[in-house]
Amino acid sequence: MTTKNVISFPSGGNKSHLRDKTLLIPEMNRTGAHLLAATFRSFGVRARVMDTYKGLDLGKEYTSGKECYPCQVTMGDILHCIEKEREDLGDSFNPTDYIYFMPEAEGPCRFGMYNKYQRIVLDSFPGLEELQILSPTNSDAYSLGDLLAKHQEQDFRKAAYFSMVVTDILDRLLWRIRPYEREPGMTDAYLERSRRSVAHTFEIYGRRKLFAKIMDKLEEILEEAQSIVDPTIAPKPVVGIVGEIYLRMHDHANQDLVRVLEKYGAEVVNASLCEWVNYVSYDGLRQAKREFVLNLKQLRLEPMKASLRKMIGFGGDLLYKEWRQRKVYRRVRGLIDIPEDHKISHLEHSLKESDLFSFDLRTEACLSIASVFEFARGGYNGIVNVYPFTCMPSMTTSAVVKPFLRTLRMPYLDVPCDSTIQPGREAAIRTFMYQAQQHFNQ
Amino acid sequence: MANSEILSQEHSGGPYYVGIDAGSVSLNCVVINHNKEIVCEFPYKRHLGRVEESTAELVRDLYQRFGEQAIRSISFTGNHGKKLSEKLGTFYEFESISQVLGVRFIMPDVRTIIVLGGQDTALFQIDHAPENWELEYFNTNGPCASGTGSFIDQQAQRLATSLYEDDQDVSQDQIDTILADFIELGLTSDMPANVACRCTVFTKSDMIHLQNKGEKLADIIYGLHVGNAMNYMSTIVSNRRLKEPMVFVGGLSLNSLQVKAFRSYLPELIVPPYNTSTGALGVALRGLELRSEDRVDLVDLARSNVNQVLTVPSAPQLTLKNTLFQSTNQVPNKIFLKKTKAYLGIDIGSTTTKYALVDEEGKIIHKTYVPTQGRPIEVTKNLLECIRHDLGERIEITGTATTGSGRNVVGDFLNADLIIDEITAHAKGAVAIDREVDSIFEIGGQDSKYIHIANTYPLDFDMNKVCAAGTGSFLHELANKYGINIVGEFQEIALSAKRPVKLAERCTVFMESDLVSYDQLGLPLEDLIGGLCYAIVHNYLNRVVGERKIGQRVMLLGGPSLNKGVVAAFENVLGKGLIVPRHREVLGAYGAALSVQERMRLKTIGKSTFRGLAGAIEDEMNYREKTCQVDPHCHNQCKLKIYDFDGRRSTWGGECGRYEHTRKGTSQKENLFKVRQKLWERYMAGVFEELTEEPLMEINGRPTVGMQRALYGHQNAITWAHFFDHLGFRLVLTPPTNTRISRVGIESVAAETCYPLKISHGHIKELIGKTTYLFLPSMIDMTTAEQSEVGSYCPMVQTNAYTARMALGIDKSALLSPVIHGKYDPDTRAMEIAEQIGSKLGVTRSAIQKALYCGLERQHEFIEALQKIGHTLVAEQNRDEPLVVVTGRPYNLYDERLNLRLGQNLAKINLMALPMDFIDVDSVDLEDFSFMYWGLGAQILRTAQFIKRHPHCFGLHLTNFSCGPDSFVEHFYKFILGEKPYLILELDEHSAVAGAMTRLEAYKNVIENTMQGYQSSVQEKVSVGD
Repeated sequence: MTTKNVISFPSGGNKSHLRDKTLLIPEMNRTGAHLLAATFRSFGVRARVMDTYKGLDLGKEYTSGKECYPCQVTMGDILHCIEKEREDLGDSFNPTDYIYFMPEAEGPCRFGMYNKYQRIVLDSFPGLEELQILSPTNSDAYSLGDLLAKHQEQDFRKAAYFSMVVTDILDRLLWRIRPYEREPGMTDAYLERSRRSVAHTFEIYGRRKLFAKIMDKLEEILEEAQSIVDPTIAPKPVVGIVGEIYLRMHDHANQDLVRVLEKYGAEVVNASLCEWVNYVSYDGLRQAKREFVLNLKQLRLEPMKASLRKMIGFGGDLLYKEWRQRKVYRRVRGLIDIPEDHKISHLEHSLKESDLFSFDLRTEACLSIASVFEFARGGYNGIVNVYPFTCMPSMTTSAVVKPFLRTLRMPYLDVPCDSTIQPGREAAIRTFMYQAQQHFNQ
Repeated sequence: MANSEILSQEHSGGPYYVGIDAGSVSLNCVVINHNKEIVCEFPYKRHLGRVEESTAELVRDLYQRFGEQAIRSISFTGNHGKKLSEKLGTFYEFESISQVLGVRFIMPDVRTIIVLGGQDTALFQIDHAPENWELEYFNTNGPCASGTGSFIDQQAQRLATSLYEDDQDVSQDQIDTILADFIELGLTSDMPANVACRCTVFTKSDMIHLQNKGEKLADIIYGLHVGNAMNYMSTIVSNRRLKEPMVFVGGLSLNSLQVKAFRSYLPELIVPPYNTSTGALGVALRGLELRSEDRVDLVDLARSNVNQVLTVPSAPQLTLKNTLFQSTNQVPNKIFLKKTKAYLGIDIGSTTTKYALVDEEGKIIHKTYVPTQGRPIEVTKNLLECIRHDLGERIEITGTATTGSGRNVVGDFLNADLIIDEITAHAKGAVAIDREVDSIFEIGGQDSKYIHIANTYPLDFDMNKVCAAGTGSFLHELANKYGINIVGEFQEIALSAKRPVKLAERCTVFMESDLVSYDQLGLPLEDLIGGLCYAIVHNYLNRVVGERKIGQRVMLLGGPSLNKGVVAAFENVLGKGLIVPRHREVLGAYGAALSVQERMRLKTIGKSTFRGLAGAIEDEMNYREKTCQVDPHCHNQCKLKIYDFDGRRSTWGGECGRYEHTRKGTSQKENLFKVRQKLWERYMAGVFEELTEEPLMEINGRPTVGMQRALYGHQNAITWAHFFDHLGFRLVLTPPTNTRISRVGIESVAAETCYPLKISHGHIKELIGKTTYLFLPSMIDMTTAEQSEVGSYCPMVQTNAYTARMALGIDKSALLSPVIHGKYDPDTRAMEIAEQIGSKLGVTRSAIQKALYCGLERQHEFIEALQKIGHTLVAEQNRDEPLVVVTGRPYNLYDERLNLRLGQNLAKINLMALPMDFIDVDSVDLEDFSFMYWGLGAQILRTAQFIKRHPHCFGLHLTNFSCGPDSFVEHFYKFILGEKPYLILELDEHSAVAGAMTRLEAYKNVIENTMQGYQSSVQEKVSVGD
């Protein structure tokens, strides 16, 4: 790899001239990516979900393998997508026609480094330095640059969030009914169908925020779910999944974890997509509050004002999200019994009560550890922590919850993932499920 | 199977339930009757990969013995059992569950089960409620520690050449005999060598280094088993308390040395009856419980797998198009008419030792290579005998040079004229063969190398980090395992593969695991072997070459270069042919010989100091062994071998490199790491105590506060020592990391983290209960050069207080564990600290504020003093002399256990090395990397910018395996340095100084070549100007 072509990092800084380009979205959560792309399309953005996992070899070639696994997978996704476009379009291929969507964060985990490193790799291919990376970040209020008209941004954010809530509902529906389906494969076929029809409704109604129309469609889908379930199948042990969000959501990357757990007799509840999205707002609010108090105690007026502005921004955002989420769940839970997300403030409260960890330390470990505590309290029969090999927040989770769950005699399994097939993995899951079954029987 | 043992003659006539455990190495079988009585246990038998044939044989024997009709069911367990049960349509259960059920049947009150099988290790803990039992906990080996049972077999086979004086059949069929002799020898040792076992690849290289150091074979063998037990205790048991009764089952429980090693940790460990058949017993019991009627049809079993269509990812067929293989590799038989002057180069590698003799024209006149057998001196003597025998009086050796991992010991023995690292030697040899070569790939037995050559000099190089170690010897071992002759047969099989499978390429352990998985799926052998060639190539390109340049003319060296399968895979992946030169097997030795010849010619070396053929062959080299006691605080307990080379004492074997003496006449640079340490001691004088064995609850009436000399302890202990001193307390620091702290840390950490975190656990455990308070802050961020930077610590450091608290069960009453934002201004930080620990310590906010200011000021003075020294050094350094700037996290840089005495070793090879603390980089613009949200990462990148801007400065980055932030920081570091050479040293508990020294010496050479390049370009400019 040569890196001569790098001059600067356009991602983050320059967000202009995005109009009329194809937005390439990586598929983390299958449903989520397609609903987000549909939402973008309803706002007139040519958005497309990239094939995932097909470019893994490229991903491996352009990473050292020591970065986290999702960086390798997404690296492969974008390189594969570009390679295919180049093949399909021949001479008319122009890298400036595309924008690669890769959000970012300000640490301390490694996720925020993906787009920077991927930029270096893209720049090493002649011409690809022109391919822009769009990285919405909280430092500029998740601006999408000139991709959308300014007045549309707020509406878009609301619709996009709504698509995430619906994603969670469809995922939870899948996990709730598949272990009890009448015939193998029924749920998967039904869900794939539903995913397409919901995406279609987002494309039609998203921009106008006609969420009620989308809810009608969702309700229609949920009603159909009853016909898939075989009521004679006895309840199964319930396993909670925590860990790193990409690995929790990406079925290829986690080597079909949920399905393997189901094969050995589990019903699964995976932490949701919105939990993380809500947490980001909550954490922003929390930090702003803390800064405000510290500044207040020292009577520093200007910094106080700045923290207050942040509090209002993050607070409003969080309020809206929690309100929207609650509203959807209320309607859905009238039809099907799926678990609802805890409010993040509730999770912080639980964590404090458990005395296991602190929200001061941030990262997904806060959510994972708090969720483990909630799962344990909620009568779950086992907990799985899935994460990329060497993921720092998840190793923290593991180090903290393992000794804790031991005292509760609650089955627990770490599932670190990378591109290798681990021969002992299925045996470990089977043994874990044996424990979960024993726990359930008692 | 005639020797199967009928255990109960009184059994009823059936029906019988059979359990077969078809494991990765052996086949085990138990028969029970409907009363759950064990009727028969078959002895442990290796299937040597012929699983189906062995199973068919076993089933036939069962039918003959018990009658086909009397056998109600045959159930399977074990790695190969799944495939068999699917084929036969019988019941299968994973071995984990079968093992537990089997052991519980034999010993109903069992609480702990330790299983070490062929490729799997496991721990099961059973809890007994009043009515029911419960599988309370289980843990199995992760991908990094797989294969312990097979691994011991591999090592026994590998060491067999050292084990036996004469040629012995070491094929797989003989493994039981070899293993028995191996164990017997190991049992004679009572001083196990220190063998690290975190990863099996390491273990192997450790053992090779030990052999090279001349450790006794018995001690190494015992050390391997102790290492295996320790690895199990740290990775599988971790910090769990094991309850009795505890049993040890699985194939390795037959190994009495392994049992002995385990009993040093767990004296009450029981090896129960049926210890290798508990899995089979468990699945037989499950069969009975389910009343399954799973009969096995022998016809089904004989059915071929050929028709099964398996879709697995595959790579293109291997074809060899563009690489020329020389028809002969022989040295022409030359007749010497007169006594010829010759130069001898010897390359003492980890697996083989080779020499090349060159004449004055630089042509090879003689060469040989033999296995090192861990006895470098003896093997060298034999080689010299070979020269004397073949050439006798016809030559005169006028110069000698040694290279390779045994270069120092042999060089010292021979009084060699030149000792050079193997990278420099290989480059020299390669260029002599092809002046245009710009890249050298070498895949050796243990180590792999990449060398980039410009204008005939090595300009950049890299050696494998851990994950690419041992690929060469791995090919041999695997070929042995599958009964394939590595010469010829292996490549034929590989080149005949239609669809080579895609195997994991991260390291050889993963490759083997994948291979085992695909083998279990029944894939054709040629596709596995073909896939293996690709995996070796991808592993090399991804783990060794990485982002470095692959040039136009690539030369391939090392054992695998003889293998057309591997060469074809390289061709297919790179899309070009490679140079596979003649004499490649002795290229390092050839290069060494050429180097000494050149130096003699240029008269940089005077008359040869070589001790002479006769002397070297005939002189008896006596040695004695002792344990190093030079430093009373050191807990390493290194076993030293003190040679007597003509009355000259030469000591070998110190872990720390203390005895790696410099040769006469070479000067040493100042060790600036030591300078930093001395300065640190000055700033800490009177404000801290070092922890001893005894508790220190009060010092001069001051309550004590314990703090770890790990993680942030290396960065800002001065702040905290003065802070607490000001408040009327006394800081107590743990001693520098020693072997015990490291071991305790590794054993007590609750998740597989990086080495610095493990060490931190060791330090914290030392402190528990020994000071009035234990200061364990959550350090969130640090002061940054620019206000806009985030300055985070990595999550593992941030959460250290919580992970350690859980793992070590720390009582909170004495704990001071504030969350600290180092980025806050001092007033806000003081407020933050006061809120959290003020009342516990009984001090006011203003007292804390004053104390913090005082601590920060002293810390600042210390940094300023360092930077003043650094500034003078950089300013006064002769621009013609290189300055190595060492970057890294403070806990890597300033812990001598982690850095392997880097400062001392750099000084010893006469390199001026400046740790990054000495340079004030705050004003350096981060440019493209302003997003760097890790505080230490930003400092490292700023320093990289500094290195980049100073032509005579060169970068050395010290990191540790599995460092999360560095997985990205390294990319950026390399990016900043661009074309400038750099060295990244990745170290951890696998602490071998030898490997690090080779890299340092080679890097020194690269630097010298780069500097020469500068000078010649200046001269060119000058002459153009003229």
